[in-house]
Amino acid sequence: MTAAPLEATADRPRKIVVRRTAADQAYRWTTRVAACTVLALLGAIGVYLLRRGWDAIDSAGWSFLTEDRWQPARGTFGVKGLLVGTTLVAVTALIVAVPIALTGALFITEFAPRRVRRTLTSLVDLMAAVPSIVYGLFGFFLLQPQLIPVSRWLAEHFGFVPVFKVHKLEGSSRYADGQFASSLFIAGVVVACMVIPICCAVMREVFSQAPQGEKEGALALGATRWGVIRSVVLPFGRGGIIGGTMLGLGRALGETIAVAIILSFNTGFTIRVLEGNGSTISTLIILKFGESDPFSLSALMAAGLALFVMTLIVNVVAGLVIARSRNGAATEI
Amino acid sequence: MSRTAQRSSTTGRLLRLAGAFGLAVLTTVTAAPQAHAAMEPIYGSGSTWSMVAVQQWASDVASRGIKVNYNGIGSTAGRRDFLYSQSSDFAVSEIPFQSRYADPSGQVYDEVRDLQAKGIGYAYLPIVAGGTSFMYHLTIRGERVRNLQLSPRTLAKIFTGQIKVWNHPDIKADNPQIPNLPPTPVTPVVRSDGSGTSAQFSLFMSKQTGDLWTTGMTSDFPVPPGGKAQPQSDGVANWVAADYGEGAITYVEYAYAKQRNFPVASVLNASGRYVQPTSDNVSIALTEVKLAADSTQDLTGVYTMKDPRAYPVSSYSYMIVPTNIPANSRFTASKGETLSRYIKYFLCDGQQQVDTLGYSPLPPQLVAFGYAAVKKIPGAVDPGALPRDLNNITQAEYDACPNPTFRPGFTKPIDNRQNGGSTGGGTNGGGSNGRGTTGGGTGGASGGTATGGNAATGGATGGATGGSADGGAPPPEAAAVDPDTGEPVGDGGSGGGASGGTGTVKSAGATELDGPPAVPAIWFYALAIGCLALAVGGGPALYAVLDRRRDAGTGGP
Repeated sequence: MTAAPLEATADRPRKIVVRRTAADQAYRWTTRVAACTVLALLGAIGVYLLRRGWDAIDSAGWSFLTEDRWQPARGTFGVKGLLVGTTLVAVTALIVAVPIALTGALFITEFAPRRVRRTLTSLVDLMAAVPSIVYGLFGFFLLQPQLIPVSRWLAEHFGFVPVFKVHKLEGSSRYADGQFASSLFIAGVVVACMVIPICCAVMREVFSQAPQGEKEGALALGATRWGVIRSVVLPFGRGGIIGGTMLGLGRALGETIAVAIILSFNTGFTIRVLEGNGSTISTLIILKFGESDPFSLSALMAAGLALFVMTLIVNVVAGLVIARSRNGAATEI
Repeated sequence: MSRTAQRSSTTGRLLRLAGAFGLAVLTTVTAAPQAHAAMEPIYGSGSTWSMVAVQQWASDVASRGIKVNYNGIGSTAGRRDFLYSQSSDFAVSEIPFQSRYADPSGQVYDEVRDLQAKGIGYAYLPIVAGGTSFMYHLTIRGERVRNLQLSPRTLAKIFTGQIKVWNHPDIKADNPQIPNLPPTPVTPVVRSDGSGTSAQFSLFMSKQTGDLWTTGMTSDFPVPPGGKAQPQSDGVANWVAADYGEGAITYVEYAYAKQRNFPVASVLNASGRYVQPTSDNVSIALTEVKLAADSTQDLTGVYTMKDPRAYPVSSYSYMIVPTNIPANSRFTASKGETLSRYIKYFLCDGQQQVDTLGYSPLPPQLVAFGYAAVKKIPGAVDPGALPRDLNNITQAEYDACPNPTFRPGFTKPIDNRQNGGSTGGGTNGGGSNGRGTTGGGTGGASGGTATGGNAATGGATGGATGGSADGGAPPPEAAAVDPDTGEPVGDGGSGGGASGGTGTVKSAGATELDGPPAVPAIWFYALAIGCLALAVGGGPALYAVLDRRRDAGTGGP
């Protein structure tokens, strides 16, 4: 009587036994397998690249990261110039594309008349459906001649910034048009055309989900349209802006054929985006693939691995950034 | 019990299926026309440079029951297919099998040794010839220069980045007929992808100007300082042709310059003349080709040929054919028959159209090499007898193998050893002028454009200068050379004089290249934008219209 058994009174969660139907089980497993397939594919690509590229990485050692020439037949090759070139093209593309995509998305969701909205949306989506070779030709024949004066202006006025520096030709005080053609900058602008629709689609989707109540509340408190955007839409859509940008960055890093058409291919290390020379990893692969012996092929695979790792890092960092922004503000994407 | 019954029924079904299939095959085979007994299809891969010709020939012979599949994947890849995976019946390559290219990992690849180890017998066979031309974009006072002349040394200096401006003394020395070369920077444009054209040009430079060009033969052309690299022949040609391509020069097949109505440089040959890479000039130069011990091409004779019309940067690409049936190979004697018929076609009839495709026909000497190689293919059909005397081919022999270089009137190489040779010279001149479009193009072109250059200084001297520029003869020797060049010189001189006198400089220059006139750029752009707008805007517009109609429909009641 005095010593009541303690164990009996202790609370214990009831064991929940879930009895799933066969259909449920099948569904769960199907989705599970599908999700794992994505991971397996990614892993398989990485392993394949590493296995095929191992010969080259092994023989080059650390110089693979510090060498900027690409002559696998002679044993000197590395991705220094290539990685920098890839980054510069991608960064240029984002600098051009993100403001356009952001303002475009805001216009579509907030300003455009309802009737035009649908047309504009499908227009932007259609932009993403244009094959990249078309962008390449468009860039080569139409955009490049228009961008040369822009490059010249940048070089003349901001030449003191190392990135915009262009060397003067021997014995002439003026830049020649051809010096600016086929540069990393022009390639970046063409890639921007391809990045815009992707960024814009993601951002528009997020902005359109901004809570109507909060927007109306802001208006009721006397906010202007711009005030609503600044205080409600943009904070709410921050994750989407970053996500769209990162998605665009992924595309910009891997863009191949349009860059190959524009860029004057030279693997030398350079940070001068206006000087018409440069290289990216994906163009290296497409240009050198056809005429390569087994070892050169291995070197190309190693370069592919470098790009793969780089893209992976970018995406992981992007994922972290998005996750963090999600925790902070009231963003629910 | 029931399982065995089931299995037997499956087997039965399979058997029936197989039977039906066999019957179907049998009917198809017997139903095939007797005249074109279906031959075993063959598969080949390799050079992109020769791809246009190889595929054109393949479609020509398809109606004769000869099925040829060709995949342009690059010379090196083509050789590898033939050697390592043995997945192709023939390969096409600009360069022969490589022996012992050292590899940084210490491993040595030796295609020639591997061929021996695998017991693969092979033979090289010339398939199509071509000249590497130098397309350039240079403007003097709004007038495009069309009569540029360059020596091999100047070319090597340009493509190694040593010559940086167009008024460099070396270029001036090559071009006395262009007095006011501008200080435009020189932009050498090279191929960024591995290419046979790069291999041919670098081989030429390593043989002719080895002190300037130390890289040797490479299909991966190093970008010179101040130069640009672009993918594909189209890419380099487009770059040079663009507005910002002012001052650019590139090496590319003649056809690409022709398409864009851009001029190509005349290159100095061993006899001291500057010649254009016309189809005939290339064929003439290639009559000097020799076969090395391993039956690969030895082009030294071509580079230094003494004929005044020979274009020095000429070469041909190979087809690599099997000469035995090695173990675990898919090659068969019946494939050999298909292959030999195809080869016979392109060595003779097929060469008639290569001119329009941008190549040059194979001269008789190279066809002879080809005939010799065909006979080694297992199961080959005898291609027939060769002309008895390659330098004097009769009409009957031409009918048996209608290669344009076999035509009795075709320009014969001039034998410089017999100084004089007036009768031979006479037919030469006539032949070369009678060739029409391309053959005559050289003379007319340089005559006309020389006038263009002189128009700035004065039309009065147009005739004389035009004349000397045409033959490209060194002035002091011009009178002494021999009578056979007298005819073309006089011809070009009168042409130049006439145009100089009337002052129709532009038209004289413009008629240089045959082909349709270029479409004005503005129309092209307008059309392109229109199409793009239609493609992009059409869908949404339609969408919007449908949408409105639907709204109206639902909103009505």
